Amino acid sequence: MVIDGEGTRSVPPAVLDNTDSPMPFASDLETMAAASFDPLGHAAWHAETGRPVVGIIGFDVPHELVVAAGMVPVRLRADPAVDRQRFGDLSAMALDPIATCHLVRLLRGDFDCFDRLILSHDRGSDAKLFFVLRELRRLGELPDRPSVAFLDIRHLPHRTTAEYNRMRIGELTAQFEEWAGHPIGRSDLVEATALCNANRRLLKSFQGLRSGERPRFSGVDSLAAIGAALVMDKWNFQATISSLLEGAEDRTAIGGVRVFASGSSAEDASLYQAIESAGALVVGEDHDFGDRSFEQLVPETDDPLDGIAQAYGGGAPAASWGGIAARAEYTLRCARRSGAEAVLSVLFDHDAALAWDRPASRQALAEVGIPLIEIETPWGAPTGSVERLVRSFVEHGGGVR
Amino acid sequence: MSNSGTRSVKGLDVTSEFSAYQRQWFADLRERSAGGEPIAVVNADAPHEIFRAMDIPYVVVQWWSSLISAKQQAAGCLEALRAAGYPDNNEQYSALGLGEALSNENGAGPWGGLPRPSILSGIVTTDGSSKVLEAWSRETGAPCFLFESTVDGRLSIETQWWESLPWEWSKLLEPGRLKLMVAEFEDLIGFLERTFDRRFSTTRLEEVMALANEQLEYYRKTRDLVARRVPAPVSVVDTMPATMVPQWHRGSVWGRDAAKALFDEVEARADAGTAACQDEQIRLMWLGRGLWASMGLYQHFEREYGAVFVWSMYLGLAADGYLRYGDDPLATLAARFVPLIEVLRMPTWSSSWHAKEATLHQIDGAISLGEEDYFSVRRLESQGVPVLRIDANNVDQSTWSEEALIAQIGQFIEERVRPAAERRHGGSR
Repeated sequence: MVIDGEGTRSVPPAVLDNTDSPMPFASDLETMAAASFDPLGHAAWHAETGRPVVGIIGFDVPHELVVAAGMVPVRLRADPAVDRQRFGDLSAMALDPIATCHLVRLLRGDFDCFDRLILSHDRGSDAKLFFVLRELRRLGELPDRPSVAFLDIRHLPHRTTAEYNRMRIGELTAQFEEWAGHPIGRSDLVEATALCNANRRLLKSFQGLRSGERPRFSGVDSLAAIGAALVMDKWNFQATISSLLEGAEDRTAIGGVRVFASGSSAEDASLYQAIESAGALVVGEDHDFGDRSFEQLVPETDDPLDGIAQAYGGGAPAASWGGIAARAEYTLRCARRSGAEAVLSVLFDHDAALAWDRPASRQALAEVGIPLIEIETPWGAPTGSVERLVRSFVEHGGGVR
Repeated sequence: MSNSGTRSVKGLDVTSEFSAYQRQWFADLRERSAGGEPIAVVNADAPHEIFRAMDIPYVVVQWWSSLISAKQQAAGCLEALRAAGYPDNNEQYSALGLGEALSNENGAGPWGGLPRPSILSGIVTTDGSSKVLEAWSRETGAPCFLFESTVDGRLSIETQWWESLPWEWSKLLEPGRLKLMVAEFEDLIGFLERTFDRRFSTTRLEEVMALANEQLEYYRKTRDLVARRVPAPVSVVDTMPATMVPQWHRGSVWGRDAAKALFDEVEARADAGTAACQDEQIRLMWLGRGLWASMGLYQHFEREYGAVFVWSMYLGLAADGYLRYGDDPLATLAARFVPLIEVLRMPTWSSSWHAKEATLHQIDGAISLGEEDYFSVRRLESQGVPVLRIDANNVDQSTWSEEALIAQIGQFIEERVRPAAERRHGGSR
């Protein structure tokens, strides 16, 4: 978005040469992987271009609003390599390791590249992180930059919740207008929504090639592409994935036992690398860095904010807030759609709440004869045992639990 | 690890009277259930007042868990959860009743067991909380009515919330959050009317709200009395059950009268110079949920060190967390429940409150069990109150043992609390 003397209008950024990265990469996939798995490095690069950059923690912050305000949204991923004891024992904050990782990075200044940081409420631990940041700010212990905001989107399938979400989306829009120093017009929102939806459609095409009869992309590739859509400038992402898709039919098909990943979000690629190195191929997933991020388009409503509130308040059920029955149905539907031969349910230790979903999921999968492999592991732990378990399944077939 | 805790010796007559009443009330409830009346099973954060106003008896999940725990049945309930494929390491305090429902021994629960619920209800306070209720619904067939847990996203908020929340809640709480909860209340009322053939009356809810406030005002007076009187006339061994049981009858005549009776007896003890521990040397604060399976543990330290647990959240929260006055009963009720979890779990509010309560109660040391207490610990330590943190779950005895707690707390008292108490006695703090 740019502002000119005649008011607000939207145009693609001048740079559309498929080089939205700190350095040139040999392939589109490498470009996307660099952005996806190093969002902070990418954000720093955005910041150097002079455009305001907004860090995002959580699934529910609408990128459409950030884009409409003329800013660059960058969804953060946690890094298990970060020393979470850097500021002492923070366990009494009761944050999970993901939120603790974000906190440590914020406190040590890694988020300087962001002008703003917005957290959402889709995971309870992220709401707690906001409480912690607010208290640290009150105590004068929070870095001045970036400024922090919170978006409270809720998910019960009630009319009352939808009205609440619409109010919160309106408030956040007003906040963006204040930050941007200018009104956000309807055309800005319409164009931003159309742009983000176009990228979702491209990701659907990508997913089709990934889960087709002759898969052209791996699960690790998919984490790169889906993650990049949440980190790269939207126009440049569009150019990059379009370029990738143009030649995709010619790519060599990837083999492997087709598995569907369910449960905890893959914040980094290590788990998928372990699974795929054991002879499996991750053809879909029900976590935040999977189908959920693109399968539902934002409705292009008369008032664009209505559609945005509707999409982010609804959508496919997340592991954190989705109901037990809804999650079982969603996992089964996605697994079948992707042609998975088995479902790999991974729970990181901090996601114990997700285990409530398991009996219903077990039952739903058993009824259609899809084997289920259940793994519980600390986040960031060595993946050797996962690799062995998957290899055992690949080599010996079903019956592995 | 031991799995049978030491029982406490109650000092107040009302504590045993309330317990007897509760047992009879529960027997009556079971009878009503057997007779076909609807029974609600609700979390502590659900709007009990609406159920009361509509004459739908309710059992509070966390009270039921405390009873299961006190009867040393928690391990069996956790095992039943595990056997059914559910987690036994998440939301235990809310899930023991589900575990009881899943066990094959019908009627083996405390006091004949929890009747099959006709409706379940609670606020979606954590990722797991709504899943527990949905699992319970799935296993029993009872419908489940959930309320959103909303968050105040403002960066600057009032810290001394207890001073103005009862009367000026509309200034402290965001209107949008209140509006949502009022709308949810209206939906709940409609659901209850349709499902259970009950009629809602605003006048009746106003009566319930007035009785609740009267009850809570007595808790405030009792809390103030315990806080200021040295030695304390009563300890948490009495105030925890003597507050918790009537709290779940909030808004009833019996609840109001029970709170008054508690105050009267505590005041009489104070006037007579009777104390929980005549040789009180040290005043302690218990942060976190009650150790229901081992209430005698609290009194161990009275005998060993003259150390008295004078504060728990049960009386403290009853005194400061629930009082609300207003002309619109549904909006006023929403103002009670919208911020309830924030009082206990949101650092800006909970740490300020814990610090205030510690000062008011002349606390020498605090023991925090299983709490999200990072900022409370900092605040308390900074004002000279040492804190011992214990990473355990109150109803899951695989995470603690009485022997280990006695050793750990004893060492803490000797090394850190006693010097603080001596400073208080010397007037240097």
